[in-house]
Amino acid sequence: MLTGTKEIKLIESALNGDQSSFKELYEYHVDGLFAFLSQFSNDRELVKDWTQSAFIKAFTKLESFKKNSRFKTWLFTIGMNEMRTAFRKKIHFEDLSDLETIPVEEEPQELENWKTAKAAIQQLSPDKKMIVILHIAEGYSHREISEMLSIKEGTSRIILHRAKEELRNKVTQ
Amino acid sequence: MKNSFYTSSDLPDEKEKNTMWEEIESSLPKPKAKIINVHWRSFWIGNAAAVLILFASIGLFSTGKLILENNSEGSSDEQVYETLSSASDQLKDLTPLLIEQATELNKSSIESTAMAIEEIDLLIQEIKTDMLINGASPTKRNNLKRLYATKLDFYKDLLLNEDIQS
Repeated sequence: MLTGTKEIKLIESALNGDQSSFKELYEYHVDGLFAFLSQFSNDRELVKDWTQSAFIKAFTKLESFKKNSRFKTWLFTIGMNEMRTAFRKKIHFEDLSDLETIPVEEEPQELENWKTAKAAIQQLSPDKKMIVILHIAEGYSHREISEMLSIKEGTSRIILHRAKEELRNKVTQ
Repeated sequence: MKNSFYTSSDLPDEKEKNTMWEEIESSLPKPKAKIINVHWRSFWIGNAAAVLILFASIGLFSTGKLILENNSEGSSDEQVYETLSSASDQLKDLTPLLIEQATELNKSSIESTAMAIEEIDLLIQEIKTDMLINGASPTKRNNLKRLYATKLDFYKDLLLNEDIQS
């Protein structure tokens, strides 16, 4: 388990040119990022490209990482941007925050149930899939998702709400 | 709990990880060679300090040398003054004897010469005190020698005057 303090020390060592610290950061985060990105393509070569591009960008721009946030969040944001660039911006998040109101949050046990609907999640559009996975599988809050994807918090909530309705329909069919 | 969303097929195998790492490693910023940065401000301050230290050392050396020279000069002068002082002290005993032997006519002349000698003694003491407090100078040393010489001249006058009278 990589603690926040250890992670910051690794980042500082990496910034000082210690190559082994880069390797350690990579080994700790590669599985998570690869698994997340692999939800958006069945082409493993493509997922490998996104993953390594994300690491290269994160490591070469490491001095711009703000240490008050999690390295994983920053890495995932870069990874998603790599993927979205590769999709030529097909993953588009429409600003929906002013269009409708939704219940504040579902119950946690309901979220656990979504995990059984992985096949149905794979059929969602990329924008819905991204928010569902970030929220349910990765545990990010709507606030964090809004910062990662540069969208409004309300948009994240609405997309998740719509995705759940769609999934509910698919599962009950 | 949340990680159970992913299955083992979602994870990269060791070969994939190594392939990715090799690509990443080749793009990593290379460790910078250590560059010796010259901090110019410190460099110039250091140089200025070195020059000041050099001047101070030269000053110290010169002062020390001067003090040593002055001390040796001063000590030789001191010996001269001591000799003169003891010589004139011995002559001091001569004055009452001369007065005793002198005729009434000469007594007043001898007594006034003795008073002049006492005045000279006071001046000698003043210069000696000044030299002790403020240090010696060539002028002070000359003045002192002149006073001793004058004092000895007065004693000579006393003796010769006595010879003429007798």
